[in-house]
Amino acid sequence: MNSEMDENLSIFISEGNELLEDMESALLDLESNPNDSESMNRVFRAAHTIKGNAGLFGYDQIIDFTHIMESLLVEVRNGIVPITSDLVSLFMRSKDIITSMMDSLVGSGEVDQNDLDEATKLLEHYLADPHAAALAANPCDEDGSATQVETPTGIFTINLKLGTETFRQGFSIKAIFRELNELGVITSANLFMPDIPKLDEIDPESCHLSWLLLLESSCQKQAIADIFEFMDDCEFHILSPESKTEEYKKIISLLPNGEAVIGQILVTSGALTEKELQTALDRQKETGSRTGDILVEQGDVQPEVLESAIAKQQQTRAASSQSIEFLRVNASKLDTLINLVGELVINGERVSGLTENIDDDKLAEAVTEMNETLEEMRETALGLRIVPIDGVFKRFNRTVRDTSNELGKQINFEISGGETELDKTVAEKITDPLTHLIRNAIDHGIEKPSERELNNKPPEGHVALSAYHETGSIVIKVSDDGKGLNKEKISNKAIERGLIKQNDKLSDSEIYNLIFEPGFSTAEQVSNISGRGVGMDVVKRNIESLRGNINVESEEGIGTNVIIQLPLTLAIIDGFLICTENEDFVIPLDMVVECLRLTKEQTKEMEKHNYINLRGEVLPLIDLKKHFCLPKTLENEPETKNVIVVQHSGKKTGLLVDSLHGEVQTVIKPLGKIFQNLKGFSGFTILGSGNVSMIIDVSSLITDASEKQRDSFMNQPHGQNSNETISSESAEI
Amino acid sequence: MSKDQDDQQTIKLQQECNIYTISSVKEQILEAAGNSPDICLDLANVEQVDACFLQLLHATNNYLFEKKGNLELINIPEDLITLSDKTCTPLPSRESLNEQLGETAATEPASEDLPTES
Repeated sequence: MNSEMDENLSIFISEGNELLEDMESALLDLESNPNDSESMNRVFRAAHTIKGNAGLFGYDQIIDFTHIMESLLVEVRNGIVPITSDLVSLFMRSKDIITSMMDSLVGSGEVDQNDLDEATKLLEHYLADPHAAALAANPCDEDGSATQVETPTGIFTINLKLGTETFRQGFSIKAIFRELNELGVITSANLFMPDIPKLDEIDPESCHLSWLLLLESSCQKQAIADIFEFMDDCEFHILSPESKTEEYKKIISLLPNGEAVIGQILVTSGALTEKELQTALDRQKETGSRTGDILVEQGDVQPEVLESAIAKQQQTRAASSQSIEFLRVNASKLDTLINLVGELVINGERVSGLTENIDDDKLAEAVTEMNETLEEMRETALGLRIVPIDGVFKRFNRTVRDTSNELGKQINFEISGGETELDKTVAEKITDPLTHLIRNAIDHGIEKPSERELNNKPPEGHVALSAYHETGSIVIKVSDDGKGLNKEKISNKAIERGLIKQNDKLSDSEIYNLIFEPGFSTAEQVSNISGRGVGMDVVKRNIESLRGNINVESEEGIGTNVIIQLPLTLAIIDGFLICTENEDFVIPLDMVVECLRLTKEQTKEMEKHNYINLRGEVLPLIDLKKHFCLPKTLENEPETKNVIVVQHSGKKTGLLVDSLHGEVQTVIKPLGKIFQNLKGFSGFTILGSGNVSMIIDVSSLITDASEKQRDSFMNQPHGQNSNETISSESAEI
Repeated sequence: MSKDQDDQQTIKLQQECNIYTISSVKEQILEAAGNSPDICLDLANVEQVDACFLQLLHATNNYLFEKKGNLELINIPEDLITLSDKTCTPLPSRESLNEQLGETAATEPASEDLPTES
């Protein structure tokens, strides 16, 4: 396969996956609201476009399967086959099969042939016997008769001219009329034999019969055309009822902007059959007239329907002329671009540093302008990878549906904040952890309906997934109104597993966070969904690998919130450069609240308590020098010390440092495997000076410092600190 | 084939009227029409007919009409009535049909709307 084919395949897969995601989301909408025509059309559009795209590349398996699916969707859209939960499940299954077909194209999976055969049979069954499907979906009335599906009827005008070979080919005219009568009622018939030869000239085996029929039916035009499918030399024109005109116009308006040919638009909408189109095209070659005019003249389509198709054609052309404004770019190319911009940012910082002490106004001006452009370039480059989280969230509708069905629980799933944006890499990597959390919430959090009713809760459980921005990061929350976490059970299990000691005093938050320990599970029954204790530790590890953190809030009997905080981007950030004991550190700027200066005396006072009074608030302090055990490099302690106040999860902490160097653009470089377990750092960066600086992970620094503090408190003789109280005068700034 | 008192030629068809026999039927009719423009088709022995026979009846009717003659059908089999009704194709001589079948044929659902041949 050449590179062009590779690229085309990649585009096909990428677009296909987007369409399948939209299909799944629309199917779920349709299940909850079967009358939602827009959702129906979204499903149809997705199947139709995938089939069309597959056709361009000759992926026959996908074409054949989506064709059957599309045919059934047409029946559903036209109200012939009712939407049921079973049918939605079948379409979901079909969607999964198409996904596996696409995966198999890139060698990342294979199609389960049994599954494919079974799904194809089911789709064909629905297609072959829509009436039975309708009856199955409509329970019997009280009198035992099945409720009929109401579909609008109208009068089709059929202009039928049989071919001269009809008799010789063995077609039974009786059978044709019987089939027409099965579709509806022939209300009028006019026989025409305008060109019947005289008796002495006629070949009695040649057919010269033509009819003009009026058929009252609720069927589709194609169903009538199908009767004449194999009669090659038969000419027929079917004018749909006036009642269908509005339906066709609506379908045409909702078609995707894919077809730019009027004939195909009309065929796709169902207003025209393939054969009618072919006849018109043949005539067009002979006469040179426009296809649309021929179709109206032949009585194949109503003029209003043709006008709608012309409008759609113009819309499609306009859209395709606009589409050059958008380009589908390989994500790896974007990554390369961002890396290069990162290198440029480092060099920009370096140039700024080198020219800082040169007294040249023009040079300074040029460097300033360069830095401004660099910053703009950085923002633009990073913006290319920013996507709304909605795409990720919508996938969980299916997860919730399938899991709740499997467990026999009723779930009201709510999504909010889908418009919140974050880096595409983060969005992709957050899917698996969220899937685990949501399944866990349904399996272990939400009680069975009977149990909920006993606890005066509605039988339907509530699971919510929300996202919002908070101080330079994105917060994702998974909430449920289930039974909540049992602190005692978790503590006992942790003691049993040796994770904590009997007399350890843990806060609620610390107890809840024990569930993220490897192999930890309080589930009494292991299900195929969750309960093996494998997963929550992986969830935490995945979140932390994204420089994020995860916390749990819970109230027994009320519910649980799992809160994930993630950085907006993984590439380049605005940093704040600080220095202590001649070591440079970078703190993400969006976590910095303010900077303070302490006198020597205030510093000494502070050292006694590890906190200061910040305008009436207790501000805990972390001395970075002590925390990171930095060797002493300065002979004399500086006259003043600096505190940089950072905020994380709504809580403020002060970091005690020697000096502050201000803002710096920071290209985040990941720590190598050797340093993966290093606590308090999320990566490193190269400064303009060429020096390497560690990037402080504020969240893990605070957690680590708290743990050290607690350990040191626990190791002190009992009562040593009992008389100490927090005093407001200790470190007034 | 027999000749009655008014020079009407009566043709008693003996077989099924379908694609396999239709050419032979046409020859019989043509031969009789050469003797007289008034032809009576006795269908008593005909059990099954196809649409090609209906077409031939119309061609015959046109032919005889031009010769100022008449086509009469007698002993019309049920299958021809059914075919006529099913395909909404009127038989060339409705009057003779009614004479033969009385009220039954006249009240056949499809025959109510039977259009005239154009």
